[in-house]
Amino acid sequence: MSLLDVERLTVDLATPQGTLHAVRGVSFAVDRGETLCLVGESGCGKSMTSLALMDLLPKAASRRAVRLSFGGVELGDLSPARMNDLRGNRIAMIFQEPMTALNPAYTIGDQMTEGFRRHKRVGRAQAEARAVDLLGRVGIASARERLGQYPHQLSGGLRQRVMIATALMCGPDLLIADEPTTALDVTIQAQILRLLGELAEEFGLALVLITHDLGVVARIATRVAVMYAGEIVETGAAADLFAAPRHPYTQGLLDCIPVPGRTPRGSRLGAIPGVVPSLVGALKGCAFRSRCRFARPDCETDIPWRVDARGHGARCVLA
Amino acid sequence: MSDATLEASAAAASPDPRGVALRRVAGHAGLMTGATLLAAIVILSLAAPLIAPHDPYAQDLAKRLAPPIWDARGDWSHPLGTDNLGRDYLSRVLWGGQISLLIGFSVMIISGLIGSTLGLVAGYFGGRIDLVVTFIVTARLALPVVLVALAVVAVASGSLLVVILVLGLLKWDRFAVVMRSATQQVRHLDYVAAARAAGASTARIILREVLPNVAPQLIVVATVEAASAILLEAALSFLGLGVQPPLPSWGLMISEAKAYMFFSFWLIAIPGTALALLVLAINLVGDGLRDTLAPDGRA
Amino acid sequence: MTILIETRDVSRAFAVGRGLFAKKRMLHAVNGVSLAVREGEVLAIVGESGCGKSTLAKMLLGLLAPSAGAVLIGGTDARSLARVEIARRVQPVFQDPYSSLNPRRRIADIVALPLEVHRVGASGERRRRAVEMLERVGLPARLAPAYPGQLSGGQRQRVAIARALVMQPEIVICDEPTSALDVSVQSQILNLLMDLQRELGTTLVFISHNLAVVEHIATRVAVMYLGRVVEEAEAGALFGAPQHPYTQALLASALTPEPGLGVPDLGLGPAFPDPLSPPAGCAFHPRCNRRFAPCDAVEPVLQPRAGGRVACHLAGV
Repeated sequence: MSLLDVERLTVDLATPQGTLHAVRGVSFAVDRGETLCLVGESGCGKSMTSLALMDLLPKAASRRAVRLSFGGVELGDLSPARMNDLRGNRIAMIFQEPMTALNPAYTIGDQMTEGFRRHKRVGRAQAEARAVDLLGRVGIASARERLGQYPHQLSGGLRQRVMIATALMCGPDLLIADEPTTALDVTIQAQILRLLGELAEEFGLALVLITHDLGVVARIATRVAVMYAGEIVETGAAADLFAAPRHPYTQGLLDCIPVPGRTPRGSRLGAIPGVVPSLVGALKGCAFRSRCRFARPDCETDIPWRVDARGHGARCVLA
Repeated sequence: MSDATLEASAAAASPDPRGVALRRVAGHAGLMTGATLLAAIVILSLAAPLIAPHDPYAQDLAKRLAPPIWDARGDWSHPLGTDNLGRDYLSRVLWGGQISLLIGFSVMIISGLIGSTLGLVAGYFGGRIDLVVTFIVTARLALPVVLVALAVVAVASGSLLVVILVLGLLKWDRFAVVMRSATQQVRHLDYVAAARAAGASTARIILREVLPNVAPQLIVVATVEAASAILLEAALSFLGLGVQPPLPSWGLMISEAKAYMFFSFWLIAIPGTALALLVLAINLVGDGLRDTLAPDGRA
Repeated sequence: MTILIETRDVSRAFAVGRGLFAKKRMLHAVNGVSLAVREGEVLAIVGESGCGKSTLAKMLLGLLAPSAGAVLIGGTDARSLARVEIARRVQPVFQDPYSSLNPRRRIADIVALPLEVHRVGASGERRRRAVEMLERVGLPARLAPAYPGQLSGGQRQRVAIARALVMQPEIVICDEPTSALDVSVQSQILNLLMDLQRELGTTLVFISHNLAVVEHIATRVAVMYLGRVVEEAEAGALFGAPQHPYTQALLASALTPEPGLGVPDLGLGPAFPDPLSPPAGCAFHPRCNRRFAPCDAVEPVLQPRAGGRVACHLAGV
């Protein structure tokens, strides 16, 4: 069994207009040493999925799953106290905006060591030694001095490095990164992604990376899950999925992005007409059919998941 | 532009925001209660000349301190009884409503004009202008309203006009503070930059681009200030610094009744209740508007 | 080609206060930039946050006065031009379509605003032109009476483009026009900008950090770093053979959806410099992997090289 095994995860949100089905029966698995990328546009449910894994959903949301097992333990059965023991300890998370994820009132050292001291029950000196060690590992010079600094004294790139080092403090098995480089400049993004990849390998982490950027996905994912309207519409090994996308939505997304050397300069880019359907109320059939140029009558029925021998699957009548 | 229309044609035509706002207003229980109550008070006060059973100034010393109708000794000729000079209390309460509303409304307009102008200008231009305005606001906050009123009345003697002017010229600080910060937020939005880039004049930008977007905050402050002006007038009149007898101001009526508090409690309870209901109604409306008009922002 | 707008050695500094009594420090957002925008081209200005590209855009639009140097519009110093005169020639499209449209005005009124300010025609005529422009940018006329809150992000950006084009300006300055949008919407806006540029002959200044997009749409590119232009060249030349180490790093860090390439090692130092105390010599030298003797002492000047201009000591070697 994989380290993280999710089967038919559903997240419903109560809204004044009715129940919003933010995540609709999502299944995936990640193992140590693997990087799974959940990719999709705004509102596709990718962030809700990550919050559901951490049990950090907003109050109005409810989570259901056939299986939500982590290291053989069913997360759905855990008490809030037991979940707290796992969170930040064996499952760590880094967020998009390192400025708001760090508390401006505490020093870097306080924030890095707090969770470690609580989870591992060790003293300040030992925790600080580990913090210094990890800050050095994520490429921060004069780490000892940084511990006494406050978040606003660091640049965005350095703050995200601090976030990563903090996430690694307890030696987690699973690291969930929600748009970790979206707020960063492109050169810093490349550096942070490289760092994440190296660390995942070095520490044997299972990495779940949530992003909207197919470029990022192509470069670091081992497996990819493309999400649309709360569902995974296509999944597969990164190489397979980018070489031969099987779902029209994945194809459409890739057509939208100019690739230097491949897309003729100044040519018209692909486009996906229409907008994402409302996720309030019951949905049937393929959610993408209203925007799909291959749509046909049987798209309105429930579409089975079709997987090939290499584990490249898509939810489409054409696949 | 074939694919251009594609995205465009799809969504569109979600409901008109004004319709949505109206429905939100109608669905807000507090706002509807406050508005109904306020409307009732306004109508009754304005209709005082038509519905008041007696002349509010007519004294009938033979019928002094007649009890209201719910007392065993009360009778329908004076439904709310009479005061110590035998004036019909119902008529005085109805006419008194006009004074409270007049004060609340006039003070709100005067202080609103002064305060929002200062706030808009300070928030929009910033820099030195902002420093000057902030200094003026701080200086104004150092003036205690009641003491100033005392001094002015001592010099100019109390009257309705003096009360309105004193309160109107003193109570603009909250308008200025709220408008300043609201304007600062709007001022840096791109649509203001776009209007400037289109060549629009500063006055036009402040009036057409900024003002409509800070109006919700302005309306909320206006209600709070109207309610507070009404209470202040009552307090000043109670202290003898405001409206002078024989005008039927609610504050003055309470003041005149205080000697009879233990024997004719209704003399205080009736104008007091009227005052409390009016202030409650205005505050309910203000709170409701804050909830429903909350700037749509990005949503 | 005619030069429509030109900056001559423009700088813009902001006083940054640190507390009430602390001495204010100067942040040099733009530092001695000379750039010319030529008729009919798509000039891209690229760089990372804090490089001064948005400040430069504001100066080109006349929204911000330079603290030194001059912006020339059609050969005349912008300081001696009336605001309406500048507005007739240069118009903006901003990044965030949620804050660039007044939420309390109807779409048709937003698009007609420049016409109204310039007193073009009667109100009926203005409205007709606004609706015409809306249709031109791919929005149906029935959206004219709607409010911005009823529109999607992509539709709003189309409205912003319609407003910029309604007076038929010579230049439209697009400041990150697609970075706030989803990928599928982004490509539609780019297509629209390219179509309009071709059909109306509008000159575009396209400010972006997305190198793949810039390579797709720009004809000429200027790369900025910490307030200065470090390299400028025709797009083909710049993307084919970037000269400045920073340009090379930027190009390498553009992650295209091509699996198997991995994330490149840029060889850059991690420390982004504090713009309040920029390093001596070349501003890029603390992060540069090819720095040598003069880099930390002598500031390189922008000089002609390989058909473009580059500010790097390596170029002189």
